Amino acid sequence: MDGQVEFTEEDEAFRAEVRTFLDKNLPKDWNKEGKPWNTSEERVAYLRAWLSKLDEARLSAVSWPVEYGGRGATLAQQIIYSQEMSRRSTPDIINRGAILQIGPALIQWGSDEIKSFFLPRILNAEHIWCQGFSEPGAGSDLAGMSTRAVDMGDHFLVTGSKVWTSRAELADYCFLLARTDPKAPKHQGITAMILDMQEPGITVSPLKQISGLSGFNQVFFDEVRVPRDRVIGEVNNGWAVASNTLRYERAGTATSRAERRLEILTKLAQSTKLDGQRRIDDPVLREKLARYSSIVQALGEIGWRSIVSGLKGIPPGPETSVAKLIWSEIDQSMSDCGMEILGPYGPLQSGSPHAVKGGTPAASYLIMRAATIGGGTSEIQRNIIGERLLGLPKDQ
Amino acid sequence: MTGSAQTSLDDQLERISIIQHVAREFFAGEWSNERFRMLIDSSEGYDTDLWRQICKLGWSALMLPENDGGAECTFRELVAIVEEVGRALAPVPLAGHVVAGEIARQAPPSALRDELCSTVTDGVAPLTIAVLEADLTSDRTDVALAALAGSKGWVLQGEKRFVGYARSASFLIVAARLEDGELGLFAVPANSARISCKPLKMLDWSAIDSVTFDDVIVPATNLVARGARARDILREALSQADVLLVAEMCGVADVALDLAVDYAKIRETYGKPIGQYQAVKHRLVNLRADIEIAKALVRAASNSITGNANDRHVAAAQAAYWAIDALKKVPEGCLQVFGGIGFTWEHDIHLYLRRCATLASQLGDRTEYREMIVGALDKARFSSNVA
Repeated sequence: MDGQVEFTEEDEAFRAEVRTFLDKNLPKDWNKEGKPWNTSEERVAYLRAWLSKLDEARLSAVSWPVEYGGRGATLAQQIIYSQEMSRRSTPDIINRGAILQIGPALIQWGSDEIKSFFLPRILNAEHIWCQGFSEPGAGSDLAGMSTRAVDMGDHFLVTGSKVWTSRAELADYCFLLARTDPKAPKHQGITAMILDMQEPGITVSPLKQISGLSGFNQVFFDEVRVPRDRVIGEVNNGWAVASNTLRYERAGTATSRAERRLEILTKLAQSTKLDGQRRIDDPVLREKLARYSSIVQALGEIGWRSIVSGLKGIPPGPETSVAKLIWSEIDQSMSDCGMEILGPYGPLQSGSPHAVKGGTPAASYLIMRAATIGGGTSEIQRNIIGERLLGLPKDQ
Repeated sequence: MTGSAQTSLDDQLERISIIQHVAREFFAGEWSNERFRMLIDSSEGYDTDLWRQICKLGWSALMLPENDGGAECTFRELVAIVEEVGRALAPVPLAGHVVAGEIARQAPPSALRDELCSTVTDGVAPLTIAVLEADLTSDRTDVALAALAGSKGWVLQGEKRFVGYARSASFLIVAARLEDGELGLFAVPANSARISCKPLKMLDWSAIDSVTFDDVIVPATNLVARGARARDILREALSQADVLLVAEMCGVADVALDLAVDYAKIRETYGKPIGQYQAVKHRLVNLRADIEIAKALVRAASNSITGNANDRHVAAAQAAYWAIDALKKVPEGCLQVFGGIGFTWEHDIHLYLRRCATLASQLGDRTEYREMIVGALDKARFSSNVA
C-alpha cells in the first residue's frame, strides 16, 4: 500500500488525531483476553457507548460531509482512518451498515427533515437500524420481492416478511424496500421507506443458526403504518435508491477479515504442537499457509484498488467481481484449516475443558459455512461472473 | 512521488495504462502466432528484427537513468510491457536484458560501465543473467561456478544452465563464487575466449542455453560487485526477474483464457453451447479468478519493488508461488475446454501451454518461495487482540 499513496502533512495530522483519540478513549478493558461483556445486551450497550464516544470526536463517519456530522475526509484520510482503527483492532461499529449504506442514501435522497432528525442519531448510536431488503422468496433475485406497501394517502400500510435481518430485535428503525405498484415491471414498482420498529403489527422472530446462536431474524409485517413523509426518494423509485446503497463496495472490509483470519491461523499453527514440533514447521501445512498468504495479499490489492477506483468514480474491474467469490472460499478454507491444525482439540466448544481460544475455532468452522452461501451462493456467483464478465450463454 | 495522493496515483496509473496500450498495439501490428511458428527450430530461436524495433522504441533501456541514456521509467512500466510480451507470445529478451542492465549499472564508474550502459540502450546484442547451475539450490544466490584471481584478472571455471539468449548476448552477468567464498557478480563479454554455448531444446522453443566457462579470463574491472553488496544486488534482480516471469505468464494465460471462452460460446454439444453448462462455465470462472489473483500479486509486488518497500521480496515470492501453484495451470484448463481440437498441432492453444509451463519452470522450485512467505508470516508480530 505504501508504494501507492503519499500522505500529505494534513493527512499525517489527521492520523495523529485519530491515534491520540484511540490512546485516550479506547476502553481499558478492550484488547484483553475474552470480551468485556457477558450478555448480548451488555455487548450492545458497550458498542453503543463506543460509537457515541467516536461521534463526540466526529469520528463515526469520516467520509460523510461535514454538515452531516462527518469530516468530508479525502481518500487518503479514509485510508488512514481504516488503517488506524484496524491497527488497534477497535470494537465493532454497531451502526456500520447504517453509516456505510443507509446514511449515504438518506443524504442523497432524504428531505431536510429526514436528514436533520435521523443522521445525527445514526452517528451517536441513539438509533439502531436494520435493513429490510431480502425476503424468503427473493434472495438472489431481490427485485422479485413481494412485501406490499399499500398507499393510503397520508401513509402506507406494509404487509409481508423480510428475512436475514440483522439487529431487527434491537432496531429502532428499518430501512425498508416494499412493492408499491404490483402491476409495474418488477424493478419499477418498489419504494424505499423508513419504518418505525415500535409500530404495532411487527413480529421479530429470531432465526437460530447452525452455531446455535441467533444472528439474524425473520420479520413479519401486518399492516404496519409508515407515514408518507418517511418515503425516501420518489414513490416507485426505490430500486434506484437501493442500487446506490448496494453498490457500496465491501471488498475492503472482507479483506481485513481475511487478513485477521490468516493471523489467527498462523498463531494457532505456532502454538499447537505435534511430536513436540510447532505445527507451523510442517511443510505440508506451510504449503497451505503460503497459498493463503498469497491469496490474502491479492485480495488486499484488489480491495485497495476497488476502494481507490470506487472513490474516483471509475467502474470496478473484473478483479472486483471475482473478489467476493475468492474471499468467501478462502476465508472458509482457513477456518477449516484451523480445525485441522488443532486435531482432536478442534471441535471443543466454548466452556469445554481444554477448549482452545474459548472454542472460537469450532464456532467459526460452523459460522464460515455462511461465507459461501450468504450474499449469493458461490454457485450463483460463478454463474453471474461467467455470464456477465465472460459473456458466456445464460443457463436456461 | 510528490503532491496529493490522488494526483500522483492518477499520473502513475495513467502512464502505465498508456504504455501498456502502446505495447499491445505494437505487438498486434508486428507479431503474430504465424511468425512465432516460423521460428520453431530456427537457429536464433527469436526474431532479431522484432527485438531491434523494441530497442528503437527505447524499451531496452526502460529503467536506466536518463544520465545513462535510459528512459528512467519505474519497474511498473516494465511489468506492463512484459505482460504484453506474454500476450503476444513474443520471443524477445526484454525482461532478462533490462534486469541484467539493472545489475550492470551498479558497476563502479569506469569505461566498462559506460560500455555496459550503452549496450543496454543499444540493446541489439542483449545482456543476460547467468545464475542457475547443474546442481539446483533453493537459495539461488548460492552458486558454485568458481572465480579465481589470476595474474591477468579473474579466471572463471564452471557451467551455467538455463541462460536466456546467451547465444546472441553481448555480456553475460555471471554469479560466481570467489576464493574467499564470497559471491561475485561479473560482467563477462560473451565473445571471451573459452566460452562455449549449447542451445537447449525448450518446450516452447525459447532461446535458452547452457554456457560453459573453461578458464575464461575476465579483466579485474569486470567484477561489478562482491560480497554482501553482490548478494543484495542479485537478490533484487532475482525478485524483479521473478515478477516479470509471472507478469509474462499473466499475459499468456489471459489470451489462452480468452480463446477458451470464445470457443465455449460457439462450440455446441447436445444442442447447446458448451459454455452454458456449469461444468465448463465454472471451470472458466475459476481460471479467470486464478489470473486475477496473479495480476493482483504482480501489481502488489511491482508496487513494493518500485517503492523499495521492506516486504518486496516476500511480495515477489507470493507472485511466484501463485504462478507455480495456480497460474501455470490456466492454459492446461483452457486446453481441456477445447477437447480433441486442443490436442492438435494446428491449434494455437498448445503454444500458450508450452510458453506458460516453460516460464513457470524458470521460476524454479516452489520451496524457496514457500519458505520466504511462511518465514515472514512466522516472524510477523501480530496485534495482541486476536480472538
